[in-house]
Amino acid sequence: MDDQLENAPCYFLTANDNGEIKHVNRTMLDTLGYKSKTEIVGKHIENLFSPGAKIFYHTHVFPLLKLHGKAEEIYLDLKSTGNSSVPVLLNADRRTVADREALNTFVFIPIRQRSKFEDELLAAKKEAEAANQAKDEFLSIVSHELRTPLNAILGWIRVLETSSGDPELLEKGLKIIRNNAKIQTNLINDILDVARMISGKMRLEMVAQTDVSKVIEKTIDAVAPAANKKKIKIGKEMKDIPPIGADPQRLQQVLWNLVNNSVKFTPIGGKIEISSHAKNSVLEISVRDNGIGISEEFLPQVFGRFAQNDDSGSQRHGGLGLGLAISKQIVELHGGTIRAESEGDGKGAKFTVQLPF
Amino acid sequence: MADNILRRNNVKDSQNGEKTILFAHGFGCDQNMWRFIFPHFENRYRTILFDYVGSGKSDFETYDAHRYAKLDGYAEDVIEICDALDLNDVIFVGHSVSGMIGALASIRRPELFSHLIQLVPSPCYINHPPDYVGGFEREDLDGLFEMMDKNYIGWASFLAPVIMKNPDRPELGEELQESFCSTDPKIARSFAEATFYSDNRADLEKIETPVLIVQVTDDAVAPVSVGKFMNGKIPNSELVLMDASGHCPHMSHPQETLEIMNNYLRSTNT
Repeated sequence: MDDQLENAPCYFLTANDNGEIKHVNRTMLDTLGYKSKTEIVGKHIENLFSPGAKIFYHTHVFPLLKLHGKAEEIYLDLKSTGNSSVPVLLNADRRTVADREALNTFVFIPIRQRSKFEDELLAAKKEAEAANQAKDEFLSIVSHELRTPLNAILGWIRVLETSSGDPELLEKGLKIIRNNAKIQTNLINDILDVARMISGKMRLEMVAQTDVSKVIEKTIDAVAPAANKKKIKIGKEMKDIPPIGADPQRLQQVLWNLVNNSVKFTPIGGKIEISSHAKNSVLEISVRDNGIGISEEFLPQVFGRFAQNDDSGSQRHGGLGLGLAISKQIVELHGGTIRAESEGDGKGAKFTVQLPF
Repeated sequence: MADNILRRNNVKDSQNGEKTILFAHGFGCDQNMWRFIFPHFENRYRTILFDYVGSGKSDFETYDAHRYAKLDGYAEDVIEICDALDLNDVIFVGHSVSGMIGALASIRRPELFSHLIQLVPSPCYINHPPDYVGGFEREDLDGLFEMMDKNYIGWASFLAPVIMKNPDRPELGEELQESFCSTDPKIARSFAEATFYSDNRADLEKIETPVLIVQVTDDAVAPVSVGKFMNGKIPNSELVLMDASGHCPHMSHPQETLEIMNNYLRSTNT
């Protein structure tokens, strides 16, 4: 082998159909950590491959060479003597010279940087596929959730249209229609909020001296009927809360999401504690419950858009699973943070909002 | 129905011959891999070649992820091909994973098969210490899947869409044919999982059909120990060791492979 090929900026190797290495260049020896050619020549080519590459060589590369006479741009993983991985691109061909055994020529180009880029590309592709699937699932949840109140509204309209004007029935029907219309309005508002979040158009209407204790009181009033129905006690502890710059409507939306979630996921007779205090120019509001808790696996995704603990959960408790994602965005627009803690299934959950002032 | 199955699996039937040999390809390839073997049997046997669904020129539209999540789905295909051609007493020749696919088919329908010839088969590719050496650890297979992802990404993102949009340019299809035997990347991944995560060791004792196990002395994918294990478990089996390396003896050593097959067929009067 001439000097230029020996030291070329690529790895060069020849092997017969049996995989027995006949020639190897110096660049390949040096990079893989071999001292002399005798360590490689005569050995099987698969000794230079990672375990995964061995299978890929036998199931893909060799058949290509044998059936089509060439293999192009194949990604493989070589293994150095120190067991480190050397990602390469392989081009190979197979030649038969009269009266001599066929010889396969392999040229490997090391692709460390490109390989890293491809890893990132593949990871991004997988992430995009997962996000797409989550969106599909979300769409199916949205259509289900929107249809449920609509069915109730349409059903009661039909009942009232055919009724003989019984005032009690009319009152009951209107109440159900109103409640379901409210549920649907909330769902649509959540979807619009997510659309605003995605397009970066969510805006706050800041009020310089927002009374957070009032916001908390209003939130408790709003969820009281649902909590009372499940005999859930809501306790509160508020210490010297200063007025802060905030969007009171949006802040109440955040707290309503947190407390309403607690009501949803806490069994009958449970309890919810809301506490708030200020320290070092940070106002902290936390909502703790003794409900079903959050599993360790789901905890990191709890603020994700379209995140639901599982299908059965969303069916059991209703809702789109958007509340926490929207809440996170609102808190972050305030320059604050939100976090979730739970010791696991059945051990309750605690959500903490921190707002700077 | 029968026509659908023959189209689905791109079945090539020589139609002449009293006894039938059915050749089944392994993972990563298609019926082309028998190119150096089947012509030698054509004047004495009826030879049948086919592609598994998702490989070669099979009908990809009929791919059913649930059916082919396990090797049993592929075994079902083999049975359906035999039924579609009204075959009995078939000599089944399976490379690599097809060794076990044929075995599973024979357990379900023993009357369809007279003999199984398994080239470098394995009932389980993963090591189960201390008693069983399959050749690989589970994490080794992650490396294979990563390699498949990277190598098939070009297929998925470039070749497939180009071919779909250019039905008038068959040469693009030829290019595809030359890259991994035109296997769809998602199907290839699923076939790889069905193959390398399978554990059919418990099925070996259920094989009633006589089996010839052909192992290669130096094969990283199916080591000699696997052949010995199978020989110990399959009631009516013979083990032949070929002095060669690699996992495709029918391509790297076609003459020796032919000799072994012919010797076996002669010794069993088939």
